[in-house]
This record gives sequence, structure tokens and C-alpha cells, in this order.
Amino acid sequence: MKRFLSVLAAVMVMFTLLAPLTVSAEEGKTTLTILWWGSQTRHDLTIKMIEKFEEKYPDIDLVIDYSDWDGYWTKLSAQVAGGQTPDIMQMDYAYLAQYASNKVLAELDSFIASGELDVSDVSDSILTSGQIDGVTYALSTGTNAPVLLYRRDLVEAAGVELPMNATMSEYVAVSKAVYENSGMRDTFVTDCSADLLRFRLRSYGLNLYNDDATALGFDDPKYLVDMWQLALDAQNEGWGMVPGESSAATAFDSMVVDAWSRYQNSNELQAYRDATGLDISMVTIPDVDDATASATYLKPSMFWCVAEQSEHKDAAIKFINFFTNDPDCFDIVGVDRAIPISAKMREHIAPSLDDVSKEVVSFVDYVSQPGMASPLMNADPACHTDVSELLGQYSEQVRYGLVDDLTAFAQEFMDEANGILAAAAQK
Amino acid sequence: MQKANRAPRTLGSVLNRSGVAGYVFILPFIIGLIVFTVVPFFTSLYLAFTEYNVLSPAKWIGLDNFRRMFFEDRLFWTSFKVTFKFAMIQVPIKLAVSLGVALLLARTTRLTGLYRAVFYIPSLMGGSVAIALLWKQIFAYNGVFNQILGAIGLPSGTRWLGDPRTALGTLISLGVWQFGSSMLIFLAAIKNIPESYHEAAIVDGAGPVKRFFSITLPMLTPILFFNLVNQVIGAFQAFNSSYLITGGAPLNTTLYYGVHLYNRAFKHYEMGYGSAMAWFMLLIIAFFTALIFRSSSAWVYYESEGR
Repeated sequence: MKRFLSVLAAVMVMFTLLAPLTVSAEEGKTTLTILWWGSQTRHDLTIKMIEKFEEKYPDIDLVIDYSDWDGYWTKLSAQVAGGQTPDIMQMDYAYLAQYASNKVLAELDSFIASGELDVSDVSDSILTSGQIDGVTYALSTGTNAPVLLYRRDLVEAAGVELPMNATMSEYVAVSKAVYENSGMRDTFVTDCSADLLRFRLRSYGLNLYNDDATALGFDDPKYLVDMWQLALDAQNEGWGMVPGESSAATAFDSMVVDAWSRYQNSNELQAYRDATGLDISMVTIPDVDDATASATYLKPSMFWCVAEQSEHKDAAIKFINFFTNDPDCFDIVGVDRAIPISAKMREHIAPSLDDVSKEVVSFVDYVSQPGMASPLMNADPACHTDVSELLGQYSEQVRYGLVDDLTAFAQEFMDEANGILAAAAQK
Repeated sequence: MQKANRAPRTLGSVLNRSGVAGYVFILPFIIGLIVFTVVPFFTSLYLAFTEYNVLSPAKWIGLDNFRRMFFEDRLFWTSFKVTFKFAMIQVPIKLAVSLGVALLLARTTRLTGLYRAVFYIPSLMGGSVAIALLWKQIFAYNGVFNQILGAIGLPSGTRWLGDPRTALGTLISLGVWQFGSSMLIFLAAIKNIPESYHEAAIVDGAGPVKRFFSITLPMLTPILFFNLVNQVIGAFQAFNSSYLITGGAPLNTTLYYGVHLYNRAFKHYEMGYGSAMAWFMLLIIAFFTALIFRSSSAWVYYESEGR
């Protein structure tokens, strides 16, 4: 019995020893938690950048946590539900409205007004992108443009050239040539996702949703029909990926084994080159042949947000300010979270960039020229995930050849999507 | 409180009382059970009647989740049918295969031990993510399986995981391949059948087939019953293979109930709806388990009943 008691005592002592470990706040130090998503390239850069921050602000201690994109939204929501919202979190356009309306995010206007968050070198349109109903909840980490990544080696081997600003028929011609030469296929026009539809609509000066997101931003089924018809043609002619034929385990992998082109964002060029080790380059999203506007648009690549329940908002703001305005930060992270939103920081990094980053910067500069891009996109409504998943279901049926009347089918989708949007708007 | 005439209670005297030390020992398990099973179990029952997006507190909405489930959510019925089909096909095949292999391995030869281990290996790795990803590679369009088919001159252009007609079957094959644990249980039971029964039957002139149906199978029915219940419950709860290999594609033909539930709860932040779906599945599993139990008196033979 005595032995048992001493074991029990030891166990209890261990528990009391473990307890303080969880709240190891050093004297006088502010501890902040931070959560982001990204590739391995980003994790490495961000950790280095945070070490620099802690060096400059010795009274702040950052506890880091990160994830890939897929796991991120489960992880973040679980932490919010458990009352453990990270003080600083990375945010995406598709989720911003949802998190802001559920009061997870702190408003940043008062910190901007007090000057703690210095946005004097940031353009108004970028600031507006982080606002919901006129209140700033998020600050963009950088400006981005959707791009078409492609395997330059395969295009060259096919003896063709993909122009910087291709029309859809130019793109299709290159696609066919690459397919005939290497057997690698297209996953861009066959994707038929909400993003692809958005590009098509933008080419005609339209948007996926109307201004207050109470309905779709278009009422002619032809946009959907054209998108689906092109995908079906691509599949039938062989140069487009047939559904269920991809054997890639990851998106990176698909550019190695399946596809010669892929829609991504401009800041991801480096990650794709790192992960595949291949000669990957980028051009703008192809415009439809009868385009009246550009399919390309500038958008905030992602945001930094502060938790509403954070006890150290001022310290969290210091970090975001560091990320927005400090040359030391950008010497490390470069353009991994896209082109810095501060004009001064853009000037600062320009000379020191490596070749890939220079390509990214000049690409975004190119797109930023007047007339090259359609206006900044609005934040998607909270029910965007439902609408885009619905489109995925419809597109899959089309791509499996189950639909005879594409126009009626498109109308059916539009009615159902409008129903979702109307129901969400009423809540 | 009549404590005055008792000796002062020390920690030692409390622990010495019968049973207390035992409870102390199982305390870690009890805590785990309460924190990770009992509390979530009843919380989800409550959440099933709420709208809960994880980010804001749950809101009571009565039976709305169930109304939506039965009358509005098309994918609910799709996933329900897929899971039902999956269970109805996989369970019998898996039981037959595991029983068949167990019969083969019951004979003792020099290599029996090796064979038993080899056949059990897939089950050791069974639930693992790596095997699911391996399956995805093997049955990919240009994967090993198609290449082997091509090499021996068979048609090799099937998109096993991409064709709505073959995708579910490919996932079922993964499940069947992991027959090891039920096989081991069958094997142990076969070994337990007294040799004298067979000897007596041989003397009476019964062949191997007759002996299997008149001795082995009836003697195995309690084990068959156990394996059946286990497999049915497992099949209804299937998640990994669909989530990791196909994600429910193509055309939702592999969208297991569990995957649809996970998508609603964790991708769309509809925890209340997910909970309602989970409770409905609990009822379905309970129904089928009860059905099997009820039917067992007709086909399960226990020796003690003297039949």
C-alpha cells in the first residue's frame, strides 16, 4: 500500500508540474498565438520572419501554429469553438464575411485611426477589400492576380508559344499542340469550377454575384453553356482531362504527371517551382474571344486578422504593422504572400528580388496597367462554398456526359443557386 | 452527518476500503470515457436540434435539421443509398472470403504460420492512410493494375476510380482485402471444433462438403454472428477509403454517409446538421443490429442449447 501511495503521490506531483507548463508566460512578456496556412516554402519563410519580429520586439513572444489549406479551416473553427481563437490568424476572401459576421474578428479601424496600424502607403481600394459593411476586419497581406501556370518546357518542345495575354482560341491551339507532342493535357478549361465561371463572366464585365450577393450576377445561361461546351469539346478531342483520369496525388504533382497548365495565383509560382523542380512559368488567364473586359483581376491574396477575444490586440497590431511596413520583414518573406500592399515596401524589395520573385512582381505590375484587369473583386458571401460546391455537382454531371440539354441544365443550376443566395440573404 | 464516533479518515484508510483502489486505477480511463465519449455523445444529441456554425453559439431550431435531411438534402439520400449498397455488398463478400481463407489455413502444414501472418498483414495496415493512397495509385488510370491488365492482353483503359460503374466496387475491394481480423476469429473457432465430430462423420461416410455444412458451419454460427454484427456496424461507419481515395466522386457514387456528414459538419461549418445526421445513423445501425440479433435464434446454434 505504501508503495502504491508513493506512486500515486508521484503521479499527482507530475500533474501539478505539468500545469504551469501550459501557461509559461515569462515575466513581463506578452504571448500571442498565430495561425497560418501555406506550403513548406511559406512555413520556412514565416518562421524566419517571426524570429526577426521577436528580435525587434523582445517583449512579445509568438506561439506559432500552421497547417496546409485543407486542414486549416477545420483547425481554425475548432480553435474558435474552443475559445482558443489565435490572436493573429491568416484569412481568406472566401471565409472573411463568415468569420466577421460571427464576431470572431476584431475591427481594425480604431487602430488605423490611432496610427498604431500605419496604412499611409496603402491604396484605398486595398483597404476596402478587408472591409465588411464599411468596417475594416482584415488587412491584405499582398496583391495577387489569378494566373495560368504552365510547363514552359512542354510548350517549347511542341514548337509553339503561349502569348502573355492569350485569347481562348489561342490557348486551345497551344493546348492541342502540347497534347499531340507530349500527351499532357489541359485541366484549365475542363475544371468548370466557380472560379472558371467567374473568369468567363469577368470577360463580359459581369461578376459571379450581384453587388449585395442576393443573387447571381448574371441571368443568361449561355455563360455556363459555353463553359461546359468547351470542356466537353476538350474531352472529346483528347486534349482536355477526362474526369476521374487524373492520377496525381497533389496539385503540385498534377503538373508533373497529368497536366501542362493549371489555374493558380501569382504568388504561388515559387512554391510550384520548388515542389515540382520543373520549368513552370505563368501568363494571364485567357480571355474569351469576344471579351469586352479582362478576365484577370487583382485581389488580396490573403489577409491578416486579429481575434475579437484577444487580450493583446495592441501587440497583435504591432505584428501586422511589422508585416505591412517593415523592410526587415520583406527582406525575409519577399513576395510569398504576394506583392506588398505598401508602396514603400514594393520599392524596397524591387532591387533585391530573385528571378522568380521579379517575374511575379513584373507580372502583377503588368496586370495593374490601366485596362489590363477588371476591378477588384468583392468578397464572396458566406454561402459561396455552397454555391461553388453546387456548381461542382452540376459540372460533374455535364463532364460525365449525362446532360443532353445544356441550356435547361444551366437554367436549373441558376435557379437553385439563386435560391441558396436568397435564403442566405434573409438570415 | 453522523461522523463523530468514527476514526479520523486518512487517505490510506479510504484507499484501503474495498473497491476504492480499483476505481483509482480505472480513473484515467473513466475520465477519458467521460471527456471524449459521454460528454460529446450527449452534446451532439443537443446539437442535432440546433443550428451551430461553430463560430457562434448554437441556436435551437427544433426538428428543422431532420426536415432538411429527409426532404431537402438530395445528397443525404444519395449518401444513404451508397452506404447501404456498400454494406450489402462488402459484408457478405468479406465474410465469405475470411471464412474461406480460414478454412484453408486451418490445416496444419509447415508454412501455415507464415501464411497466417501474411494474410493478416493487410488488416494490420487496414485503416491507415498510406494503404488508401496506395490503392488510389494502383487503380489510377495509368496505375499498376491497368498496366498489368495491359501486359497480359486484357483491356486496360478502365478508369477504375473515375467510372461511376466501377468506383464503389474498387473501394469495396479494398475493404474485402482487409479480411484478416475476422479471418483470425474464424480460424480460432475452427480450431475449437472437436476433431471427434469429424472423425465420427468420416466413419459414417460423410464427404468434406457434407462435413462443412453439417459440422463446421453450424459450429461456427456464433462466430459468424459476431463477425456479421461487427462488419455491418463497421460498413455503415465507413469513411477513410471514400474520403481519401475518391472524395465521393465520381457523380457521388462513392459518397459514404460518413463523408457527407463530415463535409456538412466540418467543411460547411454545419455542426448541428452533422449531429442530426450522426444520430440518424445511430438509429439505423441500432435497427440493423437489432434485426440481426432477433434473427439469430433462427440460425445461430449454441452447444449449450443441446441442439
